[in-house]
Amino acid sequence: MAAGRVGSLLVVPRTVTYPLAKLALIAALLPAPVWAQQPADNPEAHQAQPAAIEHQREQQPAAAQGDSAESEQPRERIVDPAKFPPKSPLPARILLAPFRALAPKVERGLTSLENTQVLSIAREFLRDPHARPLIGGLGDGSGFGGGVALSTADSLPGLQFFGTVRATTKKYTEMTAGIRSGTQSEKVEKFYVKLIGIHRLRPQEDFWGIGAGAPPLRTNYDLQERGADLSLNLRPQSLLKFGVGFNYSSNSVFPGKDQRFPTTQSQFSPLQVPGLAEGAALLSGYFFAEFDSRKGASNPVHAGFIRLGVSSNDSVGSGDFGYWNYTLDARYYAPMGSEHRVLAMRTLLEFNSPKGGSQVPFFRLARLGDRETLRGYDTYRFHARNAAAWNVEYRVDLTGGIGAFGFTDFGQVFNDWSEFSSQFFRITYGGGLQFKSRKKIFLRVYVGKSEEGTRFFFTFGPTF
Amino acid sequence: MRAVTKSALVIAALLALSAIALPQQPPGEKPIWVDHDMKSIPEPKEHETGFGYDFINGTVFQQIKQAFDFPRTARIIAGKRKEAYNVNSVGGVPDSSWFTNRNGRRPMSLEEIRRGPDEDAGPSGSVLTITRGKTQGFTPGFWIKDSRGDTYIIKFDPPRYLELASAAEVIATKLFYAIGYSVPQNTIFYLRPEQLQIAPDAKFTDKSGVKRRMTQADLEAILGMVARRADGSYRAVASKLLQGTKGGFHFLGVRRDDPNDIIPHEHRRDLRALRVFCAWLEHNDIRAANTLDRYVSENGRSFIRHYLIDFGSALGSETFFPNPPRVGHSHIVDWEDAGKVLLTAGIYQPSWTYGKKFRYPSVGLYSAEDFNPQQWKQNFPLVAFENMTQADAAWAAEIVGSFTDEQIRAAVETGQLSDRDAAEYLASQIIARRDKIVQAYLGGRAQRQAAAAERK
Repeated sequence: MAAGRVGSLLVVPRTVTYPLAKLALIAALLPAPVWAQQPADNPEAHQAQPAAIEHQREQQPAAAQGDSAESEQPRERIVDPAKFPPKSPLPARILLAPFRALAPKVERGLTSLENTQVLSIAREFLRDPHARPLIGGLGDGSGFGGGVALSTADSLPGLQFFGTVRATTKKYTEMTAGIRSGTQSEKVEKFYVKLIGIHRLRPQEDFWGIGAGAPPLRTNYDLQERGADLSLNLRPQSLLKFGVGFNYSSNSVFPGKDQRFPTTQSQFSPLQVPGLAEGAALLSGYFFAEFDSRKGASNPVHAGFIRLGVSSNDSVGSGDFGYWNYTLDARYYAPMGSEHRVLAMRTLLEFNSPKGGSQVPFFRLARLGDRETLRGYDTYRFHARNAAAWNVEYRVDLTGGIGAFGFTDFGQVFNDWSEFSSQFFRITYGGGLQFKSRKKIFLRVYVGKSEEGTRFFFTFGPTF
Repeated sequence: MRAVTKSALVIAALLALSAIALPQQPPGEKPIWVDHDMKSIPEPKEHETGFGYDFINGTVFQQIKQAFDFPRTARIIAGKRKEAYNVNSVGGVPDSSWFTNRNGRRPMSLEEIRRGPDEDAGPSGSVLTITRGKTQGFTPGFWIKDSRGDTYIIKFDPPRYLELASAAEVIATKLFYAIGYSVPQNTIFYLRPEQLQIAPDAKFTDKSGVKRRMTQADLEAILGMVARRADGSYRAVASKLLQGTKGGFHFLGVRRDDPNDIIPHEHRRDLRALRVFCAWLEHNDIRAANTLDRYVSENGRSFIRHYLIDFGSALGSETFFPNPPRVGHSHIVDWEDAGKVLLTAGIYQPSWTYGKKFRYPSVGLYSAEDFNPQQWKQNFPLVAFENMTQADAAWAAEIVGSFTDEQIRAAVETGQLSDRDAAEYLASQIIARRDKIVQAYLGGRAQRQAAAAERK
C-alpha cells in the first residue's frame, strides 16, 4: 500500500502500520492486568472486593478512618503528582484550545448576567400591566419589529386608557390609543365598552392579482389607514363572548416602497383592482360571537374555539363600495392520548358579498398565503372575494420547551362558486420546531413547501 | 476492507494502551486510605458559578465534544470505559478534601446520623438581627446574625407546601454527610416575627433587582410570600454561613488555581458515583452552583475543601413546589428523549409525561415505585456522571446499602415533619430506593450474600 493512499482512514506507510497493528493486536488480546479489570467484567473480582474492604477496616489505623482525613501515614497521593493532571493528546489540545480559552470568559459573562438578575427583572417588566414590550412584526411581510403597550391598568376607578406604538424594520408602523370601561383584563371582564383610534402605515403590502388563477407576478402597494372603532363586548359566561360595534376606516393607497418589485399601480388598472386609485373610506357595523373552550389559549392542547362574524360595510367617501362580510374561524385540538401530542385542526371561511352593483376594495378582499394559511406560498399570494382554508397540524413535545410539528394546509380563493374547483385547490405542507414557555409558544421556526417553492418562517408569538 | 481492518487494529491498540495506563493503585499493595490533597496553598480567587453556563455546557457543548471523542466512544463500544483514578488497591476511595469515608466504612450511631455536620443547634437568642434580605428570584429570604455572632441564611417553605423544602434540605444534608461529603450545617428553625430586628445597614434586593436599605415593609413582604404556621410562627431552614468560599467546582477538569487538585473531576470516583447518591435522594439540581469550594485552615494548613450545598430541591421538593413528574426521568432538555419522540413521530412518549400525583404536600413527589437507579437523570448532563462505570456505581451502592432502616429513619426525624404518616412514608421510600440501588448495582452479589446469611 502506498503511503497516503486515498481511502485509508489513517495515512501511514504500511511498514509502520503492520508492526504497530500486530503489537496492538497482541496487546488487545492479552488479558488486562488483574488490577485493571472492571468488576463488571469480572464478577469474582467484584465479589472479592467487599471482603477486602472488611479486611482493611480491621487493619486500618483509627486515625485514618471516619472523619479524620489527617493521619500519621506518610504524605502520599493516590496518583503520581508528576503525571497529573494528565495532558490530552496534542491534536485534541489544539482542537480544544479555543474552547478552553473561551470557556472561562463565557462562564464569567453568563454568571455576571445571572447575578444582575436580568431575567427576573425582565419577568417583572413583562408582568407590569402599565408598560410592557411588544415583540414581533405587524403581520406577514412586515419585517421584524416591536414596540410598547401602555395602560393605566387599574390605576383609575372603572376605566382605563391605553395605547400602543409599534414599528418594524420595513417601516411598517402602528399607533393606537383608546379608552375602555373596566380595569381587569379583557379575557375576564364580563362587560366592557371600548373606543379605539388607529393609525397604520403599511408601505410594502404584497399583491398578486385577483382570482384563484392569478399568475405569480408580485407587486406591492402602500396602504395608509386611519380609523376608529367603538365596540360593546359581553361575556355572559367564561366560554362565551359577544360583541357589536362600529368601525370607521379611511384608507389611502400609494405605490409600494419595495424597490425590488413593481408597484401594483404599474401592473394593474383601477378597473381591474377596485380601490387602487382612490383608496376607500368605509363605515362598518359588525357583530361577532365567540365560543372558546381551549385549555391554554396560547398553547392549546384540547377543546376548541369558534368565532362567527358578520359586518356590513359601506363607503362614506368617493368610490362605490358596499358589501357584507361573513367570517368563520373554527379550531379544534385533539390530544392523541397525551397532552404532549396534539392534532390541531382549523377551518377558516370568509365571504364578501357585494351590495347591488357595489364592489369590495381590493385591500379588504379575502386573502390566503401567510403564516397560518397555505404556508409555502408567498405572502398574500391569493386574493379574491371569498376564501376557504383548512389546516391540519400535528404537534408533539420533544423536550423541555421544545416541540416539533408537521402540517398540511389546503384551500383556495374564489370570486364566485363557479371558480371553486379542484383546478385551483392549493395544498402545502411542511414542519418545524416551536419553542414555548410554560404557558405559551413564543417562537416558531419552520419550512413550508408549495408547488411554487419553499418558504422559511421565523415567527414570534402564539399560533392558532 | 484493509482500511477498516487497520482502523480497527489502531483502535484496539488505543484501547489496550488505555487499559495499561490505568493509574489506579494495583491490588496487593498496602491500600492508601488518605489521599493527601490538603497541602497548604496560596488563597485562590473566588470564581462565581451560575446556572446558565452549566446548563449550556452540559446540554450542548459537552454533548458535541463527546460525540467527537472517538477514543472514548471506542472504549464504550469495547466495554473498556476509563476507570476512576482515585481508587485504592481494594476498590475504595481514600479520604481527601472531597470525600471522607463515614458510614460506608464504619457504621455511624443514630446520634451521629442525627447530628450530621452540626456544630450547634442553630441560631440562638431571643433577638435575631437581619443583615440582608431579598424578594428577588424564586426564594425570598434573609440573613440573620444570632446572639453568638454567627450568621445564618434563612430559607422558608413555599406558601402552599409547609415543611416541603425545609425537611428535604435538612434530611438530605444529614444523609449526604453520612455518605461522606462535606456539607453545611442546616437545621430546622422556628421563628416569630417579633424576634426579628433589622440592622440599620441591612441591604435589600427587591423584585426588580434594585439594592437598597431594608425596611420593615420589606420584611413583611418576605414573610407574606412564604408558608406560615397556624400559630403565626414561621418554619425555616437555618443554614450556617460558610466562610472562605471560593465558588463552586465543576464536574469536569481541575481547578487551575488549586495545586492540590490534580485528578480531573470527571475521573474522580467520589464525583462520578455521586450520581448514585443523587439518584437515591433525588438531588436532581446537582450542578456547580450547588457546590462550594471553601478555603479552610485545618491543622496549620490552608487548602480547599469541597462542599455540596443547597438541598432544597432534594427528595420530593423542587424548592418552591413539589417535584414535577419529569424530575429524575429526563434532563430539562433531553436530546435522547427528543430524538426518540421525533423519530417515532411522537408515538414514543417518556413515561413521566403521563403524570404522577404526590401523596403528602410536605413530602412532594418522591417515590420508589417508578425509580430506576440506572436510568435516573439529573437536571442536565454532567460529564463526571456520564463517566460513571459499573465499578464506581458498585462502590456507591455499597455505601448506600450500608444505611440501615433505623439510620434512615433517624435522618428523616431531623426533618421534623409534623405528619407522622408523611414521615413514615418518606422513610419507607428512601429505604425502598436504597434496596433498588443495591439490587441494580450489586444485584447478584447481594442475593448471594442474603442466601448465605439464610443458610447460616
